[in-house]
Amino acid sequence: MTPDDVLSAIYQLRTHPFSPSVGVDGQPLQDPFALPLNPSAEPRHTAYYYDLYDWSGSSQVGPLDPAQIVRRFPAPADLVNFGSLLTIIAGPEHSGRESLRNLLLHKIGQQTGLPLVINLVLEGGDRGQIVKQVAELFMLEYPNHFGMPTFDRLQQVFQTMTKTKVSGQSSCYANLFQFWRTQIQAFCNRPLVLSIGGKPDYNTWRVLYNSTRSLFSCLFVVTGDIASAKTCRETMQGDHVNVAVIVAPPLSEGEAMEYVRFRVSKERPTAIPSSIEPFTPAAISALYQRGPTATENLRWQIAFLNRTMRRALDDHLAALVGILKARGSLDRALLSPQEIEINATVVRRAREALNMGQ
Amino acid sequence: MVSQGIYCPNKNAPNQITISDLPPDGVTVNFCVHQNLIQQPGSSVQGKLIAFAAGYKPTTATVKVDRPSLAPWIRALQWFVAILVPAALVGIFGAGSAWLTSSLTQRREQKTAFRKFKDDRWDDLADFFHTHLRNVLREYDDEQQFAKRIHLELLNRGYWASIPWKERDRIERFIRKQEASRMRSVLAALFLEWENDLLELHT
Repeated sequence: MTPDDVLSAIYQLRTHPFSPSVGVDGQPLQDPFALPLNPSAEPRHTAYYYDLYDWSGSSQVGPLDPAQIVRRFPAPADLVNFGSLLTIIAGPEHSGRESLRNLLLHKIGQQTGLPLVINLVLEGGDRGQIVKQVAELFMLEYPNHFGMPTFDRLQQVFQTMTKTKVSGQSSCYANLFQFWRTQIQAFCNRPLVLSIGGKPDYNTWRVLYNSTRSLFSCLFVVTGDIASAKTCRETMQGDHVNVAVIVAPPLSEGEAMEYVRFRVSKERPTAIPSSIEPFTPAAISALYQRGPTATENLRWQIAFLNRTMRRALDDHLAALVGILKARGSLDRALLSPQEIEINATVVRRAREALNMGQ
Repeated sequence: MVSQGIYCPNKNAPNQITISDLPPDGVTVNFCVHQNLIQQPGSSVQGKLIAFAAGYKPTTATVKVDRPSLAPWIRALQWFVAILVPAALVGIFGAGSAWLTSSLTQRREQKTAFRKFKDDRWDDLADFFHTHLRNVLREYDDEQQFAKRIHLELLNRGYWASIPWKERDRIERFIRKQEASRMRSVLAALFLEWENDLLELHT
Protein backbone atom coordinates (compact mmCIF):
# COMPACT_ATOMS: atom_id res chain seq x y z
CA MET A 1 0.00 0.00 0.00
CA THR A 2 1.56 3.26 -1.16
CA PRO A 3 0.55 6.93 -0.95
CA ASP A 4 -0.38 6.78 -4.64
CA ASP A 5 -2.77 3.88 -3.87
CA VAL A 6 -4.38 5.98 -1.15
CA LEU A 7 -4.70 8.97 -3.51
CA SER A 8 -6.41 6.80 -6.07
CA ALA A 9 -8.61 4.65 -3.85
CA ILE A 10 -9.66 7.12 -1.17
CA TYR A 11 -9.64 10.45 -3.06
CA GLN A 12 -10.04 9.43 -6.72
CA LEU A 13 -6.95 11.46 -7.60
CA ARG A 14 -4.86 10.33 -10.59
CA THR A 15 -1.73 11.76 -9.01
CA HIS A 16 -0.56 14.18 -6.33
CA PRO A 17 -2.16 17.55 -7.21
CA PHE A 18 0.79 19.56 -5.90
CA SER A 19 3.57 17.26 -7.06
CA PRO A 20 2.25 15.34 -10.07
CA SER A 21 4.28 12.33 -11.14
CA VAL A 22 1.96 11.52 -14.02
CA GLY A 23 1.10 13.93 -16.83
CA VAL A 24 -2.30 14.63 -18.34
CA ASP A 25 -1.53 11.92 -20.91
CA GLY A 26 -0.98 9.32 -18.19
CA GLN A 27 2.75 9.17 -18.88
CA PRO A 28 5.37 9.74 -16.15
CA LEU A 29 6.26 13.36 -15.56
CA GLN A 30 8.95 15.14 -13.57
CA ASP A 31 7.35 17.32 -10.88
CA PRO A 32 6.36 20.42 -12.91
CA PHE A 33 6.21 22.60 -9.79
CA ALA A 34 9.84 21.98 -8.81
CA LEU A 35 10.92 24.84 -11.11
CA PRO A 36 9.07 27.53 -13.09
CA LEU A 37 6.85 25.88 -15.71
CA ASN A 38 8.50 25.74 -19.11
CA PRO A 39 6.35 24.41 -21.97
CA SER A 40 9.15 24.90 -24.50
CA ALA A 41 11.12 22.22 -22.63
CA GLU A 42 8.10 20.09 -21.64
CA PRO A 43 4.94 20.76 -23.67
CA ARG A 44 2.76 19.01 -21.07
CA HIS A 45 3.48 21.87 -18.67
CA THR A 46 0.77 23.92 -20.40
CA ALA A 47 -1.78 21.90 -18.41
CA TYR A 48 -0.43 23.20 -15.11
CA TYR A 49 -0.94 26.94 -15.67
CA TYR A 50 -3.47 28.73 -13.51
CA ASP A 51 -4.66 32.18 -14.48
CA LEU A 52 -3.85 34.19 -11.37
CA TYR A 53 -2.55 37.11 -13.45
CA ASP A 54 -3.87 40.65 -13.62
CA TRP A 55 -4.11 41.51 -17.32
CA SER A 56 -5.66 44.96 -16.88
CA GLY A 57 -2.45 46.65 -18.04
CA SER A 58 -2.15 44.50 -21.12
CA SER A 59 -4.42 45.06 -24.09
CA GLN A 60 -2.09 43.12 -26.40
CA VAL A 61 -1.56 39.88 -24.41
CA GLY A 62 -3.77 37.55 -22.37
CA PRO A 63 -5.71 36.15 -20.63
CA LEU A 64 -4.75 32.46 -20.44
CA ASP A 65 -6.77 30.15 -22.59
CA PRO A 66 -6.18 26.38 -22.47
CA ALA A 67 -7.09 26.02 -26.14
CA GLN A 68 -4.79 28.67 -27.59
CA ILE A 69 -2.41 29.32 -24.65
CA VAL A 70 -3.37 33.03 -24.49
CA ARG A 71 -6.51 34.52 -25.97
CA ARG A 72 -4.75 37.64 -27.30
CA PHE A 73 -1.24 37.79 -28.65
CA PRO A 74 0.10 39.93 -31.51
CA ALA A 75 0.49 38.11 -34.80
CA PRO A 76 4.00 38.30 -36.33
CA ALA A 77 2.69 40.76 -38.92
CA ASP A 78 1.42 43.05 -36.13
CA LEU A 79 4.88 43.15 -34.60
CA VAL A 80 6.28 44.28 -37.93
CA ASN A 81 3.56 46.86 -38.53
CA PHE A 82 3.14 48.21 -35.01
CA GLY A 83 6.60 47.63 -33.65
CA SER A 84 8.14 45.29 -31.11
CA LEU A 85 6.22 44.25 -28.04
CA LEU A 86 7.58 45.04 -24.59
CA THR A 87 5.95 42.76 -22.02
CA ILE A 88 6.64 43.51 -18.39
CA ILE A 89 5.71 40.74 -15.98
CA ALA A 90 5.74 42.11 -12.45
CA GLY A 91 5.29 40.35 -9.15
CA PRO A 92 7.22 38.98 -6.21
CA GLU A 93 9.49 35.99 -6.63
CA HIS A 94 7.76 32.59 -6.90
CA SER A 95 4.52 34.24 -7.95
CA GLY A 96 4.46 32.62 -11.39
CA ARG A 97 6.11 35.41 -13.37
CA GLU A 98 8.90 33.26 -14.87
CA SER A 99 6.36 30.57 -15.75
CA LEU A 100 4.29 33.14 -17.63
CA ARG A 101 7.34 34.43 -19.51
CA ASN A 102 8.13 30.84 -20.52
CA LEU A 103 4.54 30.33 -21.66
CA LEU A 104 4.64 33.46 -23.84
CA LEU A 105 7.97 32.32 -25.31
CA HIS A 106 6.27 29.03 -26.08
CA LYS A 107 3.46 30.96 -27.79
CA ILE A 108 6.00 32.83 -29.92
CA GLY A 109 7.60 29.48 -30.73
CA GLN A 110 4.27 28.13 -31.92
CA GLN A 111 3.63 31.20 -34.07
CA THR A 112 6.98 31.79 -35.72
CA GLY A 113 9.44 29.15 -34.59
CA LEU A 114 11.69 28.67 -31.59
CA PRO A 115 12.81 32.11 -30.43
CA LEU A 116 16.46 32.98 -29.96
CA VAL A 117 16.49 34.49 -26.47
CA ILE A 118 19.18 36.87 -25.25
CA ASN A 119 19.10 37.06 -21.44
CA LEU A 120 20.25 40.25 -19.75
CA VAL A 121 20.56 40.77 -15.99
CA LEU A 122 20.55 44.48 -15.18
CA GLU A 123 22.95 45.62 -12.50
CA GLY A 124 22.60 49.38 -12.91
CA GLY A 125 25.10 51.82 -14.34
CA ASP A 126 25.36 53.87 -17.50
CA ARG A 127 22.53 53.16 -19.93
CA GLY A 128 24.81 53.45 -22.95
CA GLN A 129 27.02 50.73 -21.47
CA ILE A 130 23.98 48.53 -20.81
CA VAL A 131 22.89 48.83 -24.45
CA LYS A 132 26.43 47.93 -25.52
CA GLN A 133 26.25 44.93 -23.18
CA VAL A 134 23.10 43.72 -25.00
CA ALA A 135 24.90 44.15 -28.32
CA GLU A 136 27.85 42.11 -27.04
CA LEU A 137 25.56 39.34 -25.73
CA PHE A 138 23.80 39.19 -29.10
CA MET A 139 27.09 39.22 -30.98
CA LEU A 140 28.33 36.25 -28.93
CA GLU A 141 25.09 34.24 -29.08
CA TYR A 142 24.00 34.69 -32.70
CA PRO A 143 26.95 32.86 -34.35
CA ASN A 144 26.12 29.77 -32.23
CA HIS A 145 22.90 29.39 -34.23
CA PHE A 146 23.57 30.91 -37.66
CA GLY A 147 26.58 30.89 -39.95
CA MET A 148 25.96 34.26 -41.56
CA PRO A 149 26.81 36.99 -40.86
CA THR A 150 29.89 35.76 -39.03
CA PHE A 151 31.02 36.91 -35.60
CA ASP A 152 33.82 38.92 -37.25
CA ARG A 153 31.34 40.77 -39.45
CA LEU A 154 29.01 41.51 -36.51
CA GLN A 155 31.98 42.67 -34.45
CA GLN A 156 33.23 44.91 -37.25
CA VAL A 157 29.87 46.67 -37.37
CA PHE A 158 29.78 46.87 -33.57
CA GLN A 159 33.21 48.51 -33.43
CA THR A 160 32.35 51.00 -36.15
CA MET A 161 28.99 51.93 -34.69
CA THR A 162 30.15 52.26 -31.09
CA LYS A 163 33.29 54.27 -31.79
CA THR A 164 31.42 57.41 -30.84
CA LYS A 165 28.58 57.38 -28.37
CA VAL A 166 25.31 58.00 -30.18
CA SER A 167 22.76 58.50 -27.46
CA GLY A 168 19.81 60.62 -26.53
CA GLN A 169 17.60 60.64 -23.47
CA SER A 170 15.59 57.68 -24.75
CA SER A 171 17.92 55.52 -26.85
CA CYS A 172 21.59 54.62 -27.46
CA TYR A 173 23.30 53.06 -30.50
CA ALA A 174 19.92 52.40 -32.15
CA ASN A 175 21.65 52.49 -35.56
CA LEU A 176 23.78 49.48 -34.66
CA PHE A 177 20.73 47.28 -34.12
CA GLN A 178 19.03 48.60 -37.24
CA PHE A 179 22.12 47.77 -39.28
CA TRP A 180 22.38 44.29 -37.78
CA ARG A 181 18.69 43.72 -38.58
CA THR A 182 19.30 44.34 -42.28
CA GLN A 183 22.42 42.17 -42.15
CA ILE A 184 20.76 39.13 -40.54
CA GLN A 185 17.37 39.38 -42.29
CA ALA A 186 18.31 37.00 -45.10
CA PHE A 187 19.76 34.35 -42.79
CA CYS A 188 17.90 34.40 -39.48
CA ASN A 189 14.53 32.65 -39.55
CA ARG A 190 13.95 32.67 -35.79
CA PRO A 191 12.29 35.44 -33.81
CA LEU A 192 14.76 37.35 -31.65
CA VAL A 193 13.75 38.00 -28.06
CA LEU A 194 15.45 40.02 -25.35
CA SER A 195 14.66 38.91 -21.80
CA ILE A 196 15.57 41.38 -19.06
CA GLY A 197 15.82 40.73 -15.31
CA GLY A 198 17.79 42.15 -12.41
CA LYS A 199 17.65 45.66 -10.99
CA PRO A 200 14.36 47.38 -11.79
CA ASP A 201 14.60 50.70 -13.61
CA TYR A 202 11.82 51.89 -15.88
CA ASN A 203 14.08 54.39 -17.64
CA THR A 204 16.62 51.70 -18.52
CA TRP A 205 13.87 49.42 -19.82
CA ARG A 206 12.61 52.27 -21.99
CA VAL A 207 16.10 52.99 -23.34
CA LEU A 208 16.68 49.30 -24.02
CA TYR A 209 13.37 49.02 -25.86
CA ASN A 210 13.92 52.13 -27.96
CA SER A 211 17.49 51.15 -28.79
CA THR A 212 17.03 47.49 -29.66
CA ARG A 213 13.46 47.22 -30.95
CA SER A 214 14.55 47.12 -34.58
CA LEU A 215 16.35 43.82 -33.86
CA PHE A 216 14.24 42.17 -31.17
CA SER A 217 10.59 41.61 -32.02
CA CYS A 218 9.72 40.93 -28.39
CA LEU A 219 11.25 42.12 -25.15
CA PHE A 220 10.35 40.65 -21.79
CA VAL A 221 11.04 42.24 -18.43
CA VAL A 222 10.58 40.14 -15.30
CA THR A 223 10.59 42.31 -12.21
CA GLY A 224 9.54 42.42 -8.58
CA ASP A 225 8.79 46.14 -8.76
CA ILE A 226 5.15 46.53 -9.79
CA ALA A 227 5.25 50.34 -9.48
CA SER A 228 8.21 50.56 -11.90
CA ALA A 229 6.39 48.30 -14.36
CA LYS A 230 3.33 50.56 -14.32
CA THR A 231 5.47 53.69 -14.57
CA CYS A 232 7.27 52.26 -17.60
CA ARG A 233 3.99 51.61 -19.37
CA GLU A 234 2.47 54.98 -18.47
CA THR A 235 5.52 56.99 -19.49
CA MET A 236 5.82 55.11 -22.78
CA GLN A 237 2.16 55.39 -23.72
CA GLY A 238 2.79 58.84 -25.12
CA ASP A 239 5.27 57.33 -27.59
CA HIS A 240 2.54 55.02 -29.04
CA VAL A 241 4.56 51.89 -28.47
CA ASN A 242 3.51 48.34 -27.66
CA VAL A 243 3.89 47.95 -23.90
CA ALA A 244 2.01 45.38 -21.84
CA VAL A 245 2.15 45.07 -18.06
CA ILE A 246 1.00 41.82 -16.51
CA VAL A 247 0.99 41.53 -12.74
CA ALA A 248 1.52 38.19 -11.02
CA PRO A 249 0.07 38.87 -7.57
CA PRO A 250 0.30 36.69 -4.48
CA LEU A 251 -3.03 35.05 -3.66
CA SER A 252 -5.54 36.06 -1.01
CA GLU A 253 -7.31 33.43 1.10
CA GLY A 254 -10.28 33.26 -1.27
CA GLU A 255 -8.01 33.05 -4.31
CA ALA A 256 -5.94 30.32 -2.65
CA MET A 257 -9.13 28.34 -2.01
CA GLU A 258 -10.03 28.62 -5.71
CA TYR A 259 -6.52 27.60 -6.73
CA VAL A 260 -6.59 24.49 -4.49
CA ARG A 261 -10.01 23.61 -5.91
CA PHE A 262 -8.67 24.05 -9.47
CA ARG A 263 -5.58 21.92 -8.87
CA VAL A 264 -7.34 19.09 -7.03
CA SER A 265 -10.16 18.98 -9.57
CA LYS A 266 -7.65 18.85 -12.43
CA GLU A 267 -6.35 15.52 -11.13
CA ARG A 268 -9.82 13.97 -10.71
CA PRO A 269 -12.07 12.48 -13.36
CA THR A 270 -14.26 15.21 -14.81
CA ALA A 271 -17.42 13.40 -13.76
CA ILE A 272 -16.70 14.08 -10.09
CA PRO A 273 -17.98 17.49 -8.88
CA SER A 274 -15.17 19.91 -8.13
CA SER A 275 -14.11 20.18 -4.50
CA ILE A 276 -11.05 20.86 -2.41
CA GLU A 277 -11.06 17.41 -0.73
CA PRO A 278 -8.95 16.20 1.04
CA PHE A 279 -8.23 19.80 2.06
CA THR A 280 -10.71 21.71 4.22
CA PRO A 281 -11.41 25.47 4.23
CA ALA A 282 -9.94 25.57 7.74
CA ALA A 283 -6.69 24.09 6.43
CA ILE A 284 -6.33 26.95 3.95
CA SER A 285 -7.44 29.57 6.49
CA ALA A 286 -4.67 28.36 8.79
CA LEU A 287 -2.16 29.90 6.37
CA TYR A 288 -3.90 33.25 6.42
CA GLN A 289 -4.21 33.93 10.14
CA ARG A 290 -2.93 37.44 10.83
CA GLY A 291 -0.41 38.08 13.54
CA PRO A 292 -1.31 40.39 16.44
CA THR A 293 0.49 43.40 14.89
CA ALA A 294 -0.44 42.79 11.25
CA THR A 295 -2.44 45.57 9.60
CA GLU A 296 -3.00 44.00 6.20
CA ASN A 297 -4.51 40.73 5.03
CA LEU A 298 -1.96 38.10 4.13
CA ARG A 299 -1.30 37.04 0.54
CA TRP A 300 0.88 34.11 -0.49
CA GLN A 301 2.75 33.37 -3.71
CA ILE A 302 1.52 30.39 -5.68
CA ALA A 303 4.82 28.53 -5.20
CA PHE A 304 4.44 28.88 -1.43
CA LEU A 305 0.95 27.35 -1.63
CA ASN A 306 2.22 24.52 -3.84
CA ARG A 307 5.04 23.71 -1.41
CA THR A 308 2.84 23.86 1.68
CA MET A 309 -0.04 21.86 0.24
CA ARG A 310 2.36 19.30 -1.14
CA ARG A 311 3.96 18.78 2.26
CA ALA A 312 0.61 18.70 4.07
CA LEU A 313 -0.77 16.08 1.67
CA ASP A 314 2.45 14.01 1.84
CA ASP A 315 2.30 13.97 5.66
CA HIS A 316 -1.41 13.17 5.61
CA LEU A 317 -0.92 10.32 3.13
CA ALA A 318 1.91 8.85 5.18
CA ALA A 319 -0.35 8.84 8.23
CA LEU A 320 -3.25 7.33 6.27
CA VAL A 321 -1.10 4.53 4.88
CA GLY A 322 -0.26 3.57 8.48
CA ILE A 323 -3.90 3.68 9.56
CA LEU A 324 -5.17 1.70 6.58
CA LYS A 325 -2.43 -0.91 6.90
CA ALA A 326 -3.43 -1.40 10.52
CA ARG A 327 -7.07 -1.78 9.49
CA GLY A 328 -6.10 -4.20 6.77
CA SER A 329 -7.93 -2.71 3.78
CA LEU A 330 -7.81 0.24 1.37
CA ASP A 331 -11.43 1.13 2.00
CA ARG A 332 -12.72 4.67 2.53
CA ALA A 333 -15.53 3.32 4.71
CA LEU A 334 -12.94 2.33 7.31
CA LEU A 335 -11.99 5.96 7.83
CA SER A 336 -13.79 8.59 9.89
CA PRO A 337 -14.46 12.00 8.25
CA GLN A 338 -11.74 13.50 10.51
CA GLU A 339 -9.23 10.96 9.23
CA ILE A 340 -10.11 11.66 5.62
CA GLU A 341 -9.75 15.44 5.83
CA ILE A 342 -6.62 17.55 5.98
CA ASN A 343 -7.33 20.00 8.76
CA ALA A 344 -5.66 23.19 9.98
CA THR A 345 -3.29 21.35 12.33
CA VAL A 346 -1.80 19.28 9.51
CA VAL A 347 -1.19 22.40 7.42
CA ARG A 348 0.37 24.26 10.36
CA ARG A 349 2.68 21.32 11.07
CA ALA A 350 3.62 21.15 7.40
CA ARG A 351 4.43 24.86 7.42
CA GLU A 352 6.52 24.54 10.58
CA ALA A 353 8.44 21.62 9.08
CA LEU A 354 9.14 23.61 5.90
CA ASN A 355 10.21 26.62 7.93
CA MET A 356 12.63 24.40 9.83
CA GLY A 357 14.05 23.24 6.50
CA GLN A 358 12.81 19.66 6.93
CA MET B 1 78.71 74.94 48.80
CA VAL B 2 77.78 76.38 52.15
CA SER B 3 74.97 78.93 52.49
CA GLN B 4 74.85 81.67 55.05
CA GLY B 5 72.40 84.53 55.39
CA ILE B 6 71.80 88.07 56.63
CA TYR B 7 68.33 89.11 57.72
CA CYS B 8 67.63 92.90 57.76
CA PRO B 9 64.26 93.52 59.38
CA ASN B 10 64.95 97.27 59.63
CA LYS B 11 67.51 99.92 58.98
CA ASN B 12 69.27 99.28 62.31
CA ALA B 13 69.74 95.58 61.84
CA PRO B 14 73.32 94.30 61.65
CA ASN B 15 74.53 94.43 58.08
CA GLN B 16 77.77 92.54 58.43
CA ILE B 17 78.54 88.81 58.48
CA THR B 18 81.80 87.13 59.21
CA ILE B 19 82.57 83.81 57.71
CA SER B 20 85.15 82.20 59.80
CA ASP B 21 85.64 78.96 58.00
CA LEU B 22 85.67 79.65 54.30
CA PRO B 23 85.66 76.44 52.29
CA PRO B 24 87.88 76.26 49.16
CA ASP B 25 84.91 76.32 46.73
CA GLY B 26 83.48 79.47 48.32
CA VAL B 27 80.22 80.24 50.12
CA THR B 28 76.78 81.51 49.05
CA VAL B 29 75.50 84.51 50.98
CA ASN B 30 71.73 85.07 51.04
CA PHE B 31 70.34 88.37 52.19
CA CYS B 32 66.79 89.41 52.74
CA VAL B 33 65.45 92.97 52.58
CA HIS B 34 62.39 93.70 54.67
CA GLN B 35 59.46 95.15 52.72
CA ASN B 36 59.36 98.19 55.03
CA LEU B 37 62.60 99.31 53.44
CA ILE B 38 60.84 99.53 50.01
CA GLN B 39 57.33 100.55 50.91
CA GLN B 40 56.11 102.01 47.60
CA PRO B 41 55.31 99.58 44.77
CA GLY B 42 57.51 100.41 41.81
CA SER B 43 60.37 101.86 43.97
CA SER B 44 63.73 100.27 44.68
CA VAL B 45 66.72 100.36 47.03
CA GLN B 46 70.25 100.19 46.00
CA GLY B 47 73.37 99.38 47.99
CA LYS B 48 76.70 97.71 47.87
CA LEU B 49 77.93 94.32 49.00
CA ILE B 50 81.55 94.41 50.04
CA ALA B 51 83.52 91.22 50.66
CA PHE B 52 86.71 91.36 52.71
CA ALA B 53 89.13 88.50 52.72
CA ALA B 54 92.49 88.40 54.36
CA GLY B 55 95.26 88.85 51.84
CA TYR B 56 92.91 90.12 49.09
CA LYS B 57 91.60 93.48 48.01
CA PRO B 58 87.96 94.12 49.06
CA THR B 59 85.50 93.14 46.33
CA THR B 60 82.45 95.36 45.74
CA ALA B 61 79.16 94.33 44.08
CA THR B 62 76.27 96.72 43.51
CA VAL B 63 72.89 95.29 44.56
CA LYS B 64 69.54 96.75 43.54
CA VAL B 65 66.24 95.41 44.84
CA ASP B 66 63.04 96.41 42.99
CA ARG B 67 59.54 96.22 44.39
CA PRO B 68 57.15 95.23 41.56
CA SER B 69 54.60 97.90 40.80
CA LEU B 70 51.62 95.34 41.01
CA ALA B 71 50.95 92.00 42.58
CA PRO B 72 51.96 89.10 40.27
CA TRP B 73 48.39 87.86 39.80
CA ILE B 74 47.31 91.33 38.71
CA ARG B 75 50.15 91.44 36.25
CA ALA B 76 49.20 87.99 35.06
CA LEU B 77 45.61 89.15 34.67
CA GLN B 78 46.75 92.24 32.83
CA TRP B 79 48.84 90.08 30.51
CA PHE B 80 45.93 87.73 30.02
CA VAL B 81 43.48 90.50 29.18
CA ALA B 82 45.87 92.52 27.09
CA ILE B 83 47.50 89.74 25.06
CA LEU B 84 45.94 86.30 25.38
CA VAL B 85 42.25 87.26 25.11
CA PRO B 86 42.69 89.34 21.95
CA ALA B 87 44.88 86.60 20.49
CA ALA B 88 42.26 83.98 21.33
CA LEU B 89 39.49 86.18 19.93
CA VAL B 90 41.42 86.71 16.73
CA GLY B 91 42.01 82.96 16.52
CA ILE B 92 38.35 82.07 17.17
CA PHE B 93 37.09 84.72 14.79
CA GLY B 94 39.55 83.62 12.14
CA ALA B 95 38.62 79.97 12.48
CA GLY B 96 34.89 80.79 12.60
CA SER B 97 35.16 82.98 9.58
CA ALA B 98 37.13 80.33 7.69
CA TRP B 99 34.53 77.70 8.66
CA LEU B 100 31.69 80.00 7.63
CA THR B 101 33.34 80.84 4.34
CA SER B 102 34.01 77.19 3.63
CA SER B 103 30.43 76.21 4.60
CA LEU B 104 28.95 78.91 2.43
CA THR B 105 31.17 77.91 -0.47
CA GLN B 106 30.28 74.26 0.03
CA ARG B 107 26.58 75.05 0.22
CA ARG B 108 26.77 77.23 -2.88
CA GLU B 109 28.61 74.46 -4.75
CA GLN B 110 26.07 71.86 -3.64
CA LYS B 111 23.17 74.05 -4.73
CA THR B 112 24.81 74.71 -8.10
CA ALA B 113 25.47 71.00 -8.59
CA PHE B 114 21.88 70.23 -7.61
CA ARG B 115 20.52 72.73 -10.14
CA LYS B 116 22.70 71.16 -12.83
CA PHE B 117 21.53 67.70 -11.81
CA LYS B 118 17.91 68.81 -12.20
CA ASP B 119 18.62 70.25 -15.64
CA ASP B 120 20.45 67.11 -16.77
CA ARG B 121 17.87 64.66 -15.45
CA TRP B 122 14.76 66.75 -16.10
CA ASP B 123 12.86 64.04 -18.01
CA ASP B 124 13.75 61.33 -15.50
CA LEU B 125 12.68 63.50 -12.60
CA ALA B 126 9.43 64.46 -14.30
CA ASP B 127 8.58 60.76 -14.74
CA PHE B 128 9.66 60.05 -11.20
CA PHE B 129 7.57 62.72 -9.47
CA HIS B 130 4.65 62.83 -11.85
CA THR B 131 4.14 59.12 -12.50
CA HIS B 132 6.36 56.78 -10.55
CA LEU B 133 5.69 58.03 -7.03
CA ARG B 134 1.94 57.85 -7.69
CA ASN B 135 2.35 54.20 -8.66
CA VAL B 136 4.48 53.54 -5.60
CA LEU B 137 1.89 55.25 -3.40
CA ARG B 138 -0.74 52.69 -4.47
CA GLU B 139 1.22 50.01 -2.62
CA TYR B 140 1.02 51.84 0.73
CA ASP B 141 -1.64 52.54 3.33
CA ASP B 142 0.73 54.10 5.81
CA GLU B 143 2.13 57.60 5.35
CA GLN B 144 5.34 56.92 7.30
CA GLN B 145 6.11 53.73 5.39
CA PHE B 146 5.54 55.60 2.15
CA ALA B 147 7.98 58.32 3.28
CA LYS B 148 10.62 55.64 3.89
CA ARG B 149 9.97 54.20 0.44
CA ILE B 150 10.43 57.66 -1.16
CA HIS B 151 13.79 57.88 0.60
CA LEU B 152 14.71 54.43 -0.72
CA GLU B 153 13.61 55.33 -4.24
CA LEU B 154 15.76 58.48 -4.14
CA LEU B 155 18.72 56.34 -3.05
CA ASN B 156 18.17 53.55 -5.57
CA ARG B 157 17.75 55.91 -8.49
CA GLY B 158 20.92 57.80 -7.61
CA TYR B 159 19.10 61.08 -6.93
CA TRP B 160 19.99 61.19 -3.24
CA ALA B 161 23.68 61.94 -3.78
CA SER B 162 22.75 65.12 -5.65
CA ILE B 163 20.61 66.58 -2.87
CA PRO B 164 22.45 69.21 -0.73
CA TRP B 165 23.61 67.90 2.62
CA LYS B 166 21.45 70.18 4.72
CA GLU B 167 18.25 68.96 3.08
CA ARG B 168 19.44 65.35 3.24
CA ASP B 169 19.89 65.71 7.01
CA ARG B 170 16.46 67.24 7.38
CA ILE B 171 14.77 64.54 5.31
CA GLU B 172 16.46 61.80 7.34
CA ARG B 173 15.54 63.55 10.59
CA PHE B 174 11.88 63.86 9.62
CA ILE B 175 11.71 60.22 8.57
CA ARG B 176 13.25 59.23 11.90
CA LYS B 177 10.75 61.38 13.79
CA GLN B 178 7.91 60.02 11.64
CA GLU B 179 6.98 63.46 10.33
CA ALA B 180 6.17 62.49 6.77
CA SER B 181 4.41 65.73 5.85
CA ARG B 182 7.44 67.83 6.86
CA MET B 183 9.71 65.49 4.94
CA ARG B 184 7.52 66.00 1.89
CA SER B 185 7.67 69.79 2.39
CA VAL B 186 11.49 69.65 2.27
CA LEU B 187 11.29 67.65 -0.94
CA ALA B 188 8.73 70.06 -2.38
CA ALA B 189 11.07 72.98 -1.65
CA LEU B 190 13.94 71.15 -3.31
CA PHE B 191 11.98 70.04 -6.35
CA LEU B 192 9.83 73.10 -6.67
CA GLU B 193 9.02 72.27 -10.29
CA TRP B 194 7.08 69.20 -9.13
CA GLU B 195 5.74 70.73 -5.93
CA ASN B 196 2.11 70.03 -6.84
CA ASP B 197 2.85 66.38 -7.61
CA LEU B 198 4.62 65.98 -4.29
CA LEU B 199 1.98 67.70 -2.21
CA GLU B 200 -0.75 65.55 -3.77
CA LEU B 201 0.94 62.35 -2.61
CA HIS B 202 -1.14 61.23 0.34
CA THR B 203 -2.01 57.71 1.42
